[in-house]
Amino acid sequence: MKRALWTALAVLLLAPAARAADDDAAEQAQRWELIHNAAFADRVLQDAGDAVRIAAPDRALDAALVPITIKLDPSKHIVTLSLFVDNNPSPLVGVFHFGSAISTDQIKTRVRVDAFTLIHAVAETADGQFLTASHYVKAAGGCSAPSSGQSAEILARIGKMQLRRERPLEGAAIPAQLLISHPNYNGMQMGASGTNLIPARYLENVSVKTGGVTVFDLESSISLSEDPSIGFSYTPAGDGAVEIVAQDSTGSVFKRHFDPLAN
Amino acid sequence: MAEPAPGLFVRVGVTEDATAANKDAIANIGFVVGREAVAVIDPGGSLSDGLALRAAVLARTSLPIRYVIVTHIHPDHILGSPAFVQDKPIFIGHAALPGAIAERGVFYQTNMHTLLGDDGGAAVMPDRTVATTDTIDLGGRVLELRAHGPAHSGSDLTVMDRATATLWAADLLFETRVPSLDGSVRGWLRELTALEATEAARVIPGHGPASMSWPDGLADVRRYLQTLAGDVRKVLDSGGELEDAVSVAAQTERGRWQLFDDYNPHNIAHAVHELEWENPL
Repeated sequence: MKRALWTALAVLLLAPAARAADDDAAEQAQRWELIHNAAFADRVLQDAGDAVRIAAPDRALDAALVPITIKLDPSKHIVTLSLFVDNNPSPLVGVFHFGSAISTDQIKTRVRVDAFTLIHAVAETADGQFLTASHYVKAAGGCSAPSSGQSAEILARIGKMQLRRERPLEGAAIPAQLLISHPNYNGMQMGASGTNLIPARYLENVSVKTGGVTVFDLESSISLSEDPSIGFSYTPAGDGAVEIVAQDSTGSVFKRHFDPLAN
Repeated sequence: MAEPAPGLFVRVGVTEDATAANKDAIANIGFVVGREAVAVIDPGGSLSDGLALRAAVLARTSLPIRYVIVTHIHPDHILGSPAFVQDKPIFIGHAALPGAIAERGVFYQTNMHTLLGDDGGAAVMPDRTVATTDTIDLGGRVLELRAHGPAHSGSDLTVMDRATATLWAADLLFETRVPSLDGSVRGWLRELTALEATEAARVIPGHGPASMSWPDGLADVRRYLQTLAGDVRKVLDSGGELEDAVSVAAQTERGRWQLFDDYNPHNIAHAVHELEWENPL
């Protein structure tokens, strides 16, 4: 399904997105229908109700850095989670494939938002249901917007990672925020020459494991923000260490080992 | 036009965001008149804004406009540039300005064109750039130019008019209008400290009144930036992140500034992004 998804969404790029200030419900529904058909073809999607909820600022702080939280019902045995920014040139932000070491209560990330848009999350359960939720975000310009001006610093530290962890309650999963320094160039930003766009260079895959057990594999795309951030919770396995492997679209591979959280 | 020092004129910008009505005349812009020539300091936020400034110059002197100094990349300061091309001045900017124009010029022009049509204006590539310091002579009146590291933006240039001891700090200084952060919060605080040692009788802020006393004129922007950075670090140190910072960072500054809620959230996002990579483990 993975490859089919990417190919279908590449085709979708050719369909013009509705522009900013688009509050037209019919147009929104039409846009989602396109994405839904491309990404999930014959699957029936059902309203997630409380099983999947999206939280995001109604009005973005910075359209190139919009924080999104997806709250999940752990009892639903969710195996994949797909996130879409409907009106972005490339709507699919990414697909999380959950492993057994993840605690499926909440996923957070930061995305670029190009125009006022619905954000959709689709959670696939172990028994083959597809649960959807959406949230409207008012932000614009996040894709073609120039990079943050920190490009030189980011390129100097490309691939550096941080795993910011909180000490959990006894027996609970460990809340963590993974930061990976990467410009995540989306191919729509003008370069310093002024004549060429900076070629796309973005994280395509992020794999997180603990003690050899998968926490998640993320297939990601250009709609993730610069210096991507991913929030999740995990249950340590094996020696409790965390191994991260990230690969970008140029084939560069970044690896990092994090020791178990000290007692 | 205000004339806070002899031969140094400032057009005070309105404390609003760019609109079709205000023609993006929202920044403090102006010019300095020497014995032989004029230097414009920031050509304005749109073609109309630039043309109005040019008319103000012509109304006061017949000396040629020999220099147009652009203090940084932002649209409210740079997009009036085409108004002065007919005078064939030397456009001067920070060494990082050409790259910034390449990256952002079209983006800013397009946005302003949407708002103002053909009055929107454009950026003009500098003929001369400043990597550290430079001077220009207007005839018996030397202006000292100083390039700063990433602070308010990535291309901040300040101008010292030695003859009247006036420091044109542009957007390194904000008053009334909440500062907007597009460079580095740490860098901005560093540059303010470095600038504080400059001996000057007065300072021209990029937003706020025509002039302020120096160095106490920098107190408000410094307090805002220190508060912002301090609050963001507190959130990060206690395990919080962007979402947690939004409702708390620099909230004690609300009420001290106009347009606070239009810019403070963006400043927080910028500061979180910068400071979470301050001491990576």
